[in-house]
Amino acid sequence: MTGAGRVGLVLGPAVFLVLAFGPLPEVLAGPPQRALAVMALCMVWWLTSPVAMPITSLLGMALLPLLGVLDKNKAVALFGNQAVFFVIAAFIIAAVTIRTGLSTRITLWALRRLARSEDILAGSILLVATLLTSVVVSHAVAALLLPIMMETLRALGLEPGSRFARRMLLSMAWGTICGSNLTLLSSARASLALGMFESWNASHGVAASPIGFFEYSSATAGIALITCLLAYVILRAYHKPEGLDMAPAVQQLAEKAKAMGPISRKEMFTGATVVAMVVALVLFGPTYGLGTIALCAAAVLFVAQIIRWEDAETFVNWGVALLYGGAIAVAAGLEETRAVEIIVETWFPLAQLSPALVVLVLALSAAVLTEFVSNAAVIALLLPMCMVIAPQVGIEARALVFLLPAAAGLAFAFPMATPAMAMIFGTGYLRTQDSFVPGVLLTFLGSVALFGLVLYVWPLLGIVVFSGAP
Amino acid sequence: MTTSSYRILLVMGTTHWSHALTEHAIAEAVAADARGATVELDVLYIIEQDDLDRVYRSVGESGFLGTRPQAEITSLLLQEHLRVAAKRIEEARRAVEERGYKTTERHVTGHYEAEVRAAASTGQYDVIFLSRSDKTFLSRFFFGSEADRVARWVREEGYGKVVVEDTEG
Repeated sequence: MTGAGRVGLVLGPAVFLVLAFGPLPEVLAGPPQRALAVMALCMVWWLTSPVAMPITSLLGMALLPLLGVLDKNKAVALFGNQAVFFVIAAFIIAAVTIRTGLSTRITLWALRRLARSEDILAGSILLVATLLTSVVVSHAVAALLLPIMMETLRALGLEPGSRFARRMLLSMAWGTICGSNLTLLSSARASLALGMFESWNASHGVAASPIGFFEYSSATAGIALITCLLAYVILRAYHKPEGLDMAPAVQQLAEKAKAMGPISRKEMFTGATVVAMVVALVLFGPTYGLGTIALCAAAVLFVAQIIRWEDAETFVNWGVALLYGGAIAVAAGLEETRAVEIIVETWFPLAQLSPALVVLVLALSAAVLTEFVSNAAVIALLLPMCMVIAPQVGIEARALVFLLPAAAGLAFAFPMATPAMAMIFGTGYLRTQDSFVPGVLLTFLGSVALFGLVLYVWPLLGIVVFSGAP
Repeated sequence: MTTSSYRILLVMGTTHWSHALTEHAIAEAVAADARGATVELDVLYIIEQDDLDRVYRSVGESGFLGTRPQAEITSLLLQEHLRVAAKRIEEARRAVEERGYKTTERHVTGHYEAEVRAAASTGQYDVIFLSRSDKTFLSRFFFGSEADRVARWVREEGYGKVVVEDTEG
C-alpha cells in the first residue's frame, strides 16, 4: 500500500464516522447527513486508493441501504445502467480490435508510410494514437502502441536520454490522452458521466433528454483535435529534433507489417462490425440505448467466434463495472437526499457568481485534479456536486456531462496521471521534468481552448450551456 | 609490505542512475589506489520491482485493462530494463577495468531499499555510491527519498561511508 493509501485507510473511516454520527446542523440531520458520510468515505478512498476503486464503490453501494439513504433494491438497481453496459461493451470491442491485429495493422500501415523525418514520425504517432481512440478505449490504444514504440526506438538505436525517444513516447501517450475526448468509445469516464446524468434526471423527475453518440462526440471532438495540434507544437519546441536517419525505423515497421501477412477475415469482419456499430450508435442510440447497441455488436463478435470469452475475460478488468455501478449509486444517494443542495442553499448562496467564471473554474479544477487521481474518480467526485451547483448559477446540468469528462481528459503533466503516462515513464526513457513543464502548458492551454469551445462553439451545436436567470 | 583492501559498491537502478555517479566512484577508487590500497569495485544494478508494480496497478486499476495486458506490458518493460541494465553494467565494468581495478557486476530484480540494505549489511564495503531517484517535488516532500533513507540507515549501522547524488538523465 502506498503512503497516501495508508493515510486514506485511516482518514476515510474517521471522516465517515464524524459525518454520519457527529453533531451536524439540524437541517442536514437524517439521510442527508449519512449520504454525505458515504460520499466522503468514497471520496477519500477513491483519491488515496487504500483498496481498489471498485471495492470502494461496492462498499458505498452497500452502506447506502444500511444507513437508510436509499432503498435496498434501488441501491443495487442503479447498477443496471445503460452506461455501465456501454463501458463493458466498449472494452470488449477494444479487446477484439487488438487481439485480431486490426489496430496494429492500421498503426503500422500509417507509421511506415509517414516515418520520413523525426517531425513527421512524431506527428504521425500523435495523430494515429488520437484517431485510433475514436473506436478503441484510450488505455487499450496505449497498451497496443507501446510495444511498437519500443521496437522502433531500438531500431533507431535510441537509448534513455535521447530527445527523440522522449518525444516519440510522449507523442504516443499524449495522443491517447487527446483522443480520449474524441468519441464516447474513447474513454470510460464519459459513459460514467452519462450514467450519473440519467440517474440525476430520474431522481429529479426531469423528462429524459438523452445524450446521443453524435451529440457527445461533436461537442468533445474539437478539444481532442485542438489538444492534439497543441501537443505537436509543444513537443516539437520542447524536444527538438536530433537529426536522426529514419530508414531503420521504416524498415523495422515494414518488416513487422510484412510479418502480419495479408488482412484476415477476422480483421475485416471486426472492422465491418465496428463501423456498423458506430453507425447504429449514431442513428439508434437515443432510441434503444447506447449500451444495448454496443452489447449487440459485442455479441455478434462472440457469436462469429472472432473473440472467445477467455480472451475477453483476461483483457478487461471487470472491476470497471463495479466501480461505475457503485459510483452512480453513491451519487444517487446524494441526489435523493438533496444533501449537497441543502448545503449550498444554506451556507453557500452562489447566485451572484458569473456562470462563465464557474465553467472556467470547473474545467480547470477537473483538469488539475485528474493529474493526481484517475479521471473516472474525478467524474465520480465532481459531477454529483456540480450538477447540484450548476442550476443555481445558471448553468445547465446537462452541459456538465460534456464539460467535466472533457476537462478530466487533460492530464498531460505527471507520470502517474493516466495509465499511458505510467507506461511510458515505466520504460525508463523519461524523467518527470520531460513532461512536467510541457504537460502543464498543454493542460492550461487545453483548458482555455475548452472554455472557448463551451462559450462559442457548443451553442452553435445546439448544446445549451447557460440557462439564463439562475 | 602488505596493502589494505578498499571495497567500493556502486549501486545503480532503473530510476537511480547517473554517469556522474560512476565517474565519482572511479575517482574514489583512484584516490584509494593512490593511498596504496588494493581497490575492488562492485557494481550492483537493481531492476526496480516497485516501478513495474506501479505500472501494473495503473494499467489495471485506472486503465481497467485485464491481467493479460497488464502482464504483457510489465513483461515488455522488464525486457527493456534488462537490456538497459546489461548495457550500463558493461559501461561501468569497462570504465573500471580500463583503470586496472578488479570489478564484479550483478543485477537483481527487487526493491531498491531492500537490495541496498542487503548488500550493505554484508559489511564488506568501505564506501557505497547511491543516487536519488527522479521523483516529483510533492512525492519527495511527502514521502522522502529512498536513497537518503537507506544512506541514513547505512551510516547509523556503521556499514561504511555513503555518497548520495541526484539522478541525471
